[in-house]
Amino acid sequence: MHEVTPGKWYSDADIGEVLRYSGIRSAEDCSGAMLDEAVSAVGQVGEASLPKCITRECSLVIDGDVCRVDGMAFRSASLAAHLSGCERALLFAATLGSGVDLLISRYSAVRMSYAVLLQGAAAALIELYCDRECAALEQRYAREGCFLLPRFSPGYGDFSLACQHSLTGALNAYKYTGIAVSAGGQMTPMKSVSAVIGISRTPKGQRGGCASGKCADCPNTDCIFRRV
Amino acid sequence: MKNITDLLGKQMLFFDGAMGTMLQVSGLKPGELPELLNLSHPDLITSIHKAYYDCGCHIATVNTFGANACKLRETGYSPEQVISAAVSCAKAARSLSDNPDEKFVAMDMGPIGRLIEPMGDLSFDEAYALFAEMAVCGERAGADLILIETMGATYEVKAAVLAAKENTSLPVFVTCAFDASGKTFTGADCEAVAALLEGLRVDAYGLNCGLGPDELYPVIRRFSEISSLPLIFNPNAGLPKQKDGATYFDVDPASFASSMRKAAALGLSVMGGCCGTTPLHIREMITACREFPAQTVCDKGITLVSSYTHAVRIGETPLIVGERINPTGKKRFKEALKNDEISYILGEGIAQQDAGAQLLDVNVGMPGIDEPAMLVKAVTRLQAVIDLPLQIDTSHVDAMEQALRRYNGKPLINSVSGKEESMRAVFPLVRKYGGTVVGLALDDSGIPATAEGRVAIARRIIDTAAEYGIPRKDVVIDGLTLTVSAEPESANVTLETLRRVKKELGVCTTLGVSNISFGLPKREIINSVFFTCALSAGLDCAIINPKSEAMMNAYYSYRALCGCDAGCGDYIARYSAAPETSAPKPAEAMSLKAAIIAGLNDVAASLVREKLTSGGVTDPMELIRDELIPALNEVGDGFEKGTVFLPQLLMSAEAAKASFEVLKEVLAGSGSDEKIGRVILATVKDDIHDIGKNIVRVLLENYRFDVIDLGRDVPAETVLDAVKKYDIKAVGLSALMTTTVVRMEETIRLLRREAPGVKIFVGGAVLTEDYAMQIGADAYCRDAMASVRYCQTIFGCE
Repeated sequence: MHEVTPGKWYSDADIGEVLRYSGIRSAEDCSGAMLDEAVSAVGQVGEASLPKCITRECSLVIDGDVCRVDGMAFRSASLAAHLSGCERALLFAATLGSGVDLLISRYSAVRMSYAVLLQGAAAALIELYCDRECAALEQRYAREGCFLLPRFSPGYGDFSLACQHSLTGALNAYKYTGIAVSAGGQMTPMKSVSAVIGISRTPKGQRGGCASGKCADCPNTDCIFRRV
Repeated sequence: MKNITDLLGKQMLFFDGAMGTMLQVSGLKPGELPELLNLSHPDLITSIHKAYYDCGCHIATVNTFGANACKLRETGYSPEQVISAAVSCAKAARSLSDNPDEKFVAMDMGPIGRLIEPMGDLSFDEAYALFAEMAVCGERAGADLILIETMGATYEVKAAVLAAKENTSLPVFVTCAFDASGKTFTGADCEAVAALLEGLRVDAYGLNCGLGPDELYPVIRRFSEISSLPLIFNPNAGLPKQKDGATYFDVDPASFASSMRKAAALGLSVMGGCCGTTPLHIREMITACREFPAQTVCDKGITLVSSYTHAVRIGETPLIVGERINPTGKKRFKEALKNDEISYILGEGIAQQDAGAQLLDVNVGMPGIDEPAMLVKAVTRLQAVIDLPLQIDTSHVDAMEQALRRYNGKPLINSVSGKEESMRAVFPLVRKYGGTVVGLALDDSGIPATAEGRVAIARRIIDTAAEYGIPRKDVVIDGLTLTVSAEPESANVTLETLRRVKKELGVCTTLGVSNISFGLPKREIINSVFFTCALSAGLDCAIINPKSEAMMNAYYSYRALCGCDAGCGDYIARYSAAPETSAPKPAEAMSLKAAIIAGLNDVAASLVREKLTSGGVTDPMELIRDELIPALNEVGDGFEKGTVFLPQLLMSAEAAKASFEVLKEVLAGSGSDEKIGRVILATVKDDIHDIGKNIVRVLLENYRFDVIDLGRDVPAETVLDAVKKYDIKAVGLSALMTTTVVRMEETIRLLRREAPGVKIFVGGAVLTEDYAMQIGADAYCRDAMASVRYCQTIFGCE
């Protein structure tokens, strides 16, 4: 019971994460029926998704608050601090595809309670997908004796959302993944991630600052989705 | 100078290879616009075109992939300047090459880089205008054809094709980008793309980019099986990879040529390369493929209609067309149309899909309604939540044209008749926008009483369609179901017409099945038997109510019996797990209040029905006051205390809504269904995240507020117009991102100036109480319940 169909790319989805993104603190707070709905939401989102990802390795020069990535300049003190010590970085973009947006819209029209669970499932699955892609990248760079920093996305700290345009543009993300940036600087499909990933020679444990990329490192302690 | 269409399909033609790859080798940096090099380095661009022409390719793709006004906005250059320079470069290269009379210049139009609504924020008309500008500039500069390429979204393809065809006289080639699963990034499969593009009557189509020739071989093979037009194949030299910080593609020229040779054997018309291919790749490909004869282009005779994801093939196995989106004889539907309750229509569509419909009929015609506007709204909103192909059903020609234009796919069109006037109005639209049209077997003399007469009209419709260039595969004949109680012979005539249309005319058929039983009791009984007879007589598209168990039983049984259901798989899947029919579960044990708190929609609705019919409740308002509202309050309180969570809160809201729907039927017209007050909700301009706003809407509606939902990405002026139009007291604004909170502030400022009396409450992930006050809101609502409480305060009903 309450298990995602095995053998799918999304089989490892953490139902606890799905519930957390849906506004439910933990599995103990909801009924078996609700858990079944959450599992079903994961299956539907997984089947509606066409996950795609693209990366590009770039040179990196940090000049005060400015990170120069292959000639592009991102002005952000938090990004500069995060990438400190790195000489290269990966630009990264991933998406679950527009089918997931349409699935959520469909249920928003007729059954909002389920749409909220789908939204939670989609949030959990894009994280799962990104983590898996990044784990593969980490293995690749480990062979060169390098370590990858956690993903740092526009919108974190003072890394402006406006940088989404140039970041996805440099990746040719629309052509290869279908990720577009709206006039307001928002990515579509909605369950998409863009990020800069530092490539470091220093093992994670020996670096200060954001090491895991998870809630414990984040200064936004009021966040309603913060893991307790 | 030859025209490319003179050669297309008569000999193998070759496109060039990548432009971007060549420019990156020459030093183009990531993020730089390659199109600007047409102006700054024309010699470089000309030399690349020349290198490709020298390899033997026939068509140079002009360096205008992203030369649209949207991408050039901050460069200081117009599309006209960039495109004119780009075409000049290609023409200069042609004049320097051998045999220039058989060399062509293709105006290139790539994706705009923003998704069209509802997937993104760009409107269909904006996309059309951007492409139209490019196409006009390309023709003016002297391009010989338009290539629309690397398309991942079918709606964008449609905007681009219409822009090219309506604004130029150039031939139009289209290629889409597919992944290894055989889909574009918005989920369209080969059949959906083929149906759309053949319907739009492009000159040639196929695929480019995405992957290498081996990975895309199954996709081009599928196209070769279904296509009735010349095919194009322009794959990458593999996928981009990185080594030592440099991007490269891993398929070398010899391997590329060998793979393309295999594809050429399928029968193609145009071949070339995309990302990573170089003049060397193209030279070797041409050497390997030039002796292949051109594809034998012939009409495959397959009747396809499509949505933006998939196509359905008519004629293979009977299909269900859901009939419920139609106001005829439906009081509640009429009320929904009158009140612009689009969510009711969406609900009908989704329910029919869930019940097994493969297509949906959409008819919103009703006296006193702006049918063109409503039909466009229904079609665009339905295709935002349902991936079934639609049957656009209207006799209003303007409504038909507007809906066809905005439909994302190739629809069924209901209908044309044998009347000259009807054919003159409808066939040009079918030809222009694509579609399979339903031909009604009636004419100026009415409906013939005999099958002979109906078949004659059907024949005339098919012949006239051919004169407009509409093949017989795209005409589906409706032999017309009349009411058997009024005309005893009518069922036999209809069935005989079906048989003869299939046998003598060889086209597909459709029927509105349930018309047969008007005026009779227990209509489902006679409907389902007539349905079985019609299926047996050759019915391909049955317009029925898929929510009718009797009709679906007939459908699944017939398919199993006539060999359309392999191994009776669908029949078994539908019925093996179904419980035996039994009396409905008694719900008396549970109170209405408890059912709502538990979020049990069906139980709550049946309890309300029962209480109103046999439970002694005479005043529906009593139920609202004593059970519904207390239930909602209890759940709302729990949510505020943190003991009830969002999905549970919404489940209760949905159960309450199901109860209200039952009450609505009783209260309609009694004046008792009064709302507390009218509230506007909107997600502000530039913000496309609307789930939070939608949650607030659901709850406010449950608390009897009349909500006008303006949607997402709403300009301040639109909010103001609605405030004035509806005399609004309260406006709720939502913004998810820091960047769009600025728009919220602008909206508040405008409302303060132009509508000072209105109360404004705001919410969204990045907002705080302090910030909400700072931008001038009256209230910050941290969640949906807080919005309800605030509105109750404003309207004095705490």
